[in-house]
Amino acid sequence: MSLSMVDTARIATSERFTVPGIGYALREQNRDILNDPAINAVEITFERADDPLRIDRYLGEQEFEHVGIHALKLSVASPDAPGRDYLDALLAIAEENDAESISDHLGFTRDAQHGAEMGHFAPPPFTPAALDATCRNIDFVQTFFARRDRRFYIENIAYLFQFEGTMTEAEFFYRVLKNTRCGWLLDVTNVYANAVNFGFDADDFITEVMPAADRVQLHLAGGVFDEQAGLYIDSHSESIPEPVWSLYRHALEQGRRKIDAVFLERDQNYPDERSWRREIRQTRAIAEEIYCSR
Amino acid sequence: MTPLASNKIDYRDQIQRCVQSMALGCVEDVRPFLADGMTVGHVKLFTDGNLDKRMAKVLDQVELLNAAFDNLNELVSEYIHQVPLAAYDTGCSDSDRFLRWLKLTHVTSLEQHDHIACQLARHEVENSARMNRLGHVRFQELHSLADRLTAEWQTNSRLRIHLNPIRIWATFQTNVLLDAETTTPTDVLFFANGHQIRTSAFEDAGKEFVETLASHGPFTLTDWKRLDRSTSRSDLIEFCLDAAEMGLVAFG
Repeated sequence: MSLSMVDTARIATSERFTVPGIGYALREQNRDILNDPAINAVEITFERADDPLRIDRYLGEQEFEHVGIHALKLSVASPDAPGRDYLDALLAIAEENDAESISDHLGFTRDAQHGAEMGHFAPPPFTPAALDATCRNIDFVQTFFARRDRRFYIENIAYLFQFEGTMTEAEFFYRVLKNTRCGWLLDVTNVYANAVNFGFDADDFITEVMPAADRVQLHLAGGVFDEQAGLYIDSHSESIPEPVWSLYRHALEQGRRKIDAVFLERDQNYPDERSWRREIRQTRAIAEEIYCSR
Repeated sequence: MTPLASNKIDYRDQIQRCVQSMALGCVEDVRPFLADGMTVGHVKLFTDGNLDKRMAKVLDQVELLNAAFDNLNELVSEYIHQVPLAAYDTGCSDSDRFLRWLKLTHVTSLEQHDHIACQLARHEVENSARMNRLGHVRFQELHSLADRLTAEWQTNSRLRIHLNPIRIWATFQTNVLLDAETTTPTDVLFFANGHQIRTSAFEDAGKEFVETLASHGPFTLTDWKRLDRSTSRSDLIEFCLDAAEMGLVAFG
């Protein structure tokens, strides 16, 4: 094969599909393997980086092609817009670490600006009133971040109960994305958990919502099935299970040309170095298989 | 009222009722809002998990109090079931509220008071660094040059003495957290040292040095000698060198 033919093939491949950035949600336990060749992206959880005594840049000297900031307290389904101080703090961490995106969850954690907080996000009731509040808040957040060229993504959450509503979660999510044009942080494991717990088809959920998303990030993690509760819990404590890998493939197929980054999450029961590396390499191998081999 | 405005009020009311009850683990109030097939047991799984995590976080952040309170677990449990987490809880804000709640609602011994004061001061140092991040980072950068500049400082009359801006005084009533020979009550200074928090108990003269620097600094050794004619130059130098070593002052 001549050199020019190889070059042509490479260009053709890269024009067809771009492999998304791939990396971990940064934890101290995986910081040492972030130089793995399979990793070119990283996600920073704001609440972990927000250490007031920290002096150095949270990411240290390392540079990545894609850096995302992941937040927990925007509470976009609350009746009130998020507070300015929190938005400023998110932006400061994003700028310090050269992040181009900020994400949070589609749910509510607090009632009002100076009110109470639950510590974790609950799903909104899937109603027009919740849709109005959520879209209004996402518009507010997007406008704020867009001034500094940061894209905002909203994540589908795993939940243990649902409020009475008038539409399905897929319909609600589709409308949020369509109305606000914000990015979708598709948590593949959350879709899997909700599908197991509430009896819908996970592939169908992704197929139904994906057309409304302009840009997409993915989350992958492993949870546990709680026999006593009869529920799959998104605990981020296990290796990614086979059904989630399969759903990941489906998400990559459905999200062609839209997926910017894939982040793996692990928060408990940390694996050894070999397992950290194996899982991220598998994530890249699947993406390359789907995006480069056809 | 338009239907949209009415919707907003209904929605606000629903979210408020749900959050206020779920934040304290009271799931019954949520029952009317649940979808068909959902039980309060499902909500309880959610709230129990949240309260467990909240309790673990507070206990971790006030670990120091274990030495003074035999029933710390019960106290934290009482607190998290009485006082909801505040919106935008960040860093140590919840454990800080726990300590203030503890002071208000329980009679404490002097030893317990000192443990609470110590923990609160540590939180205040963190809060101070959060509010003045630029000051914290600048001082720590300056202090990182201390080895080189300390040697130069006594001969370079232009080098000024900078006081660490991230510092808090606390008063201890007993020796429980201090050396046995320290006279009490005494003021203890808590300050950021890199990523750590250091403490130092000062005698009156040392405390006065710190306050002079806080009020008039940064200044050179010559300026300081002009301000304080009663202290010898060698005493000021000795104080500054000790303070630089512990991370309380820097030269630049």
